[in-house]
Amino acid sequence: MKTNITQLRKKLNLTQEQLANKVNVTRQTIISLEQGKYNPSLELAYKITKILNAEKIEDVFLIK
Amino acid sequence: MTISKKIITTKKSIAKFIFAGILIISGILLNYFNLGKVEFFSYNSVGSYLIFCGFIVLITSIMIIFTKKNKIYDERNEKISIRAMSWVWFFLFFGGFIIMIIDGISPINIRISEFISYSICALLLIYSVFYYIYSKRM
Repeated sequence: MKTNITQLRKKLNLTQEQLANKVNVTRQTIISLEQGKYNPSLELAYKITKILNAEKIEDVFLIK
Repeated sequence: MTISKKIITTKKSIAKFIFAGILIISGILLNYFNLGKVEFFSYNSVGSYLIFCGFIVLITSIMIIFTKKNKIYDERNEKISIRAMSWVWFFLFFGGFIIMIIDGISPINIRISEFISYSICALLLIYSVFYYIYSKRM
């Protein structure tokens, strides 16, 4: 799964650690998500979308 | 932490305390009735070993309660753990099947306590290996 997490995170000047703390996961999970290695649960995808100020989940997570 | 998660963790903590209590009490009873007076995992009796295990469970449960605030629930780690554990179960059944066949061909003469300890070590090793593999992949 491709993601726009890196771009959206950098727009908000958030570090991986800060984003991880906000969604209550480890930094390693954010790294895996950014690299497209890990498919998040709907709950986590929703939380990330909300924190990154995106309108829809599809704006953050793109199915290849 | 949501209310449902809090209830689950509280139930888990209570279950751990009960388990620790059972271990300690059964250890004391075994020692009192002079049962299991054999060399068991370097302990002079099974009862002493159970008491030791009971105290370990008790200490770890107390430590978990005090460090629970900083605990992060990470779904990725959970998924990795579940996948690694599924491999452990696979090797447990597959290994058991292979050992049964080998034992049928030529009987294995090994103490049951040694066999269980070796098996646990092997399963922990399999778990660690698969956990590492999946953590690199995911």
